[in-house]
Parts: sequence; structure tokens; C-alpha cells
Amino acid sequence: MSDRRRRPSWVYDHGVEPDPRFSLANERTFLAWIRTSLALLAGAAAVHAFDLDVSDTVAAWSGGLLALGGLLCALQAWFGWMRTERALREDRPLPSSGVGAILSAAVAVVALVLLVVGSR
Amino acid sequence: MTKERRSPRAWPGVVWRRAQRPPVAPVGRPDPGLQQERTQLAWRRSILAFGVVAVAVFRAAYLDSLHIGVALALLGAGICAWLSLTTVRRRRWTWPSPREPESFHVLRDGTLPFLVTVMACALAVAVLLNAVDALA
Repeated sequence: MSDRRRRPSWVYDHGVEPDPRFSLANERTFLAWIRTSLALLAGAAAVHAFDLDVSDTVAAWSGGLLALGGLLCALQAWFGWMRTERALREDRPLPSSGVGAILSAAVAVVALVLLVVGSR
Repeated sequence: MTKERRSPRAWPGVVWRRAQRPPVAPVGRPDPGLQQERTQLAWRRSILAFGVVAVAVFRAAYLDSLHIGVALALLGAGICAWLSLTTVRRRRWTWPSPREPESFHVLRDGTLPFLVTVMACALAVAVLLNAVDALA
């Protein structure tokens, strides 16, 4: 192991090394958020690329909202990973996040709009 | 003299022969949860997803001739290819866990998650710009 300083120091300058199983689980959770972000981005690109039976404005707003959700997920992946890793190092309860609720609401709105407008 | 009957051939042979070998001394603590393997597979799935989404964004942006979207998508695809190559070289991003060095390799630090987040954000911005351009 090298003596290179571990970054971010906000995480690694606190507490002690946790059980590696917990760190690996945290890593997989990070990746799951990233994949959720990518799925939303794929949805946004699909709304834009496919010839849906909706106006360009509705398609653009839906795509934009999904892309914003993707951005939010990516940020949650990073900040969630950091907060969880630090909590593990300090042996504290794991942090929760409200991003899931916002995300669900955004996806539900887009789905409803596409369903209602598309079925007219 | 009775002929000794051979037991039916166990299949697959590779697994059977390996099971009959005398056990070797375990290197570290056993990991019945296969944490290492699951994490490695999660990375592979994520890299695959990055490739697919980068191509989708590139196609959407290219069809609309949105230059910044094309540039960002290409950047994402390039970094994706680079990340795939470097992730295969596991030792660059991971090291033996300080607590159980013989059983587990964990992330050396937060550099790799940070890079992946930047890539995902770049793709998200590309898609967002695409949507804004369609509105304008």
C-alpha cells in the first residue's frame, strides 16, 4: 500500500477503516445510482429521438425533466457514497436521502404527461 | 476375480475433480457473499450502460446537428473506453483492504467514483442541452 493521501479528505480523514464488505456494498450502491442516472438519460434521449405522438414542446419538457433527474441521480451517487463511507468509518447510523421521493415524483409526472397527451 | 465397477462419470469433470482435491489452506477469511465478484460485475454492468447511453446520446445529438451535444457525447464515449481499460487494471484503482488484505480489494480512494460521477454529469448536461435546444 502506498502512502499517497486518500481523497476526499472529508471522508478519509475521519474514523477508522470499516469492514471491507461494507465498503464494497457502498460501492455497489454508488454504481446502482449511476445506472439509475444512465437509465433516466437513456429515457430522455429516447423521448427526443423517437417519433412520439406528442408535440415538440411536450417531448422537450419531458426529456429535460428526465435529464434533470439523471443529473440529480449522478450527484446523489457521489454525495451518497461520500456520506455513507464516512458514516461507516465513524461507526454511525447510515444517512438517508430524499432524492428517491423527488425522483419518483418526476418520473411519475413525465409518465402521466406522455400517457395523457400521447393518448389524445 | 470381480471387475471393479467405475462410478458413473460425474459431470462437469472440472468441477468434480476440483471438489475431490484435498482442501488447500484458505488464504483469507471465506467470503460466502461473493462481495468481490458482485462488485466487479456491478462495475462491468455500469461500464456497459455508459457505452450504450453515450451512443444513444451521440445519435440523438448528431441527428439534430447539435455540436456541443456531439462533443460532450464523444467525450463521454472516449472517457468510457478509457475507464473500461483502466478498470480492467484493477490494481490502479483498488488496493488490499487494510483490515483484511488477503481477502478483499477495496477502492484506494474516491478518485474513481468522482470520475464516474463527472462522466454521468457530462452526459446529463449533453441531454439537457439537447432538450433546451429543442425548446428554443
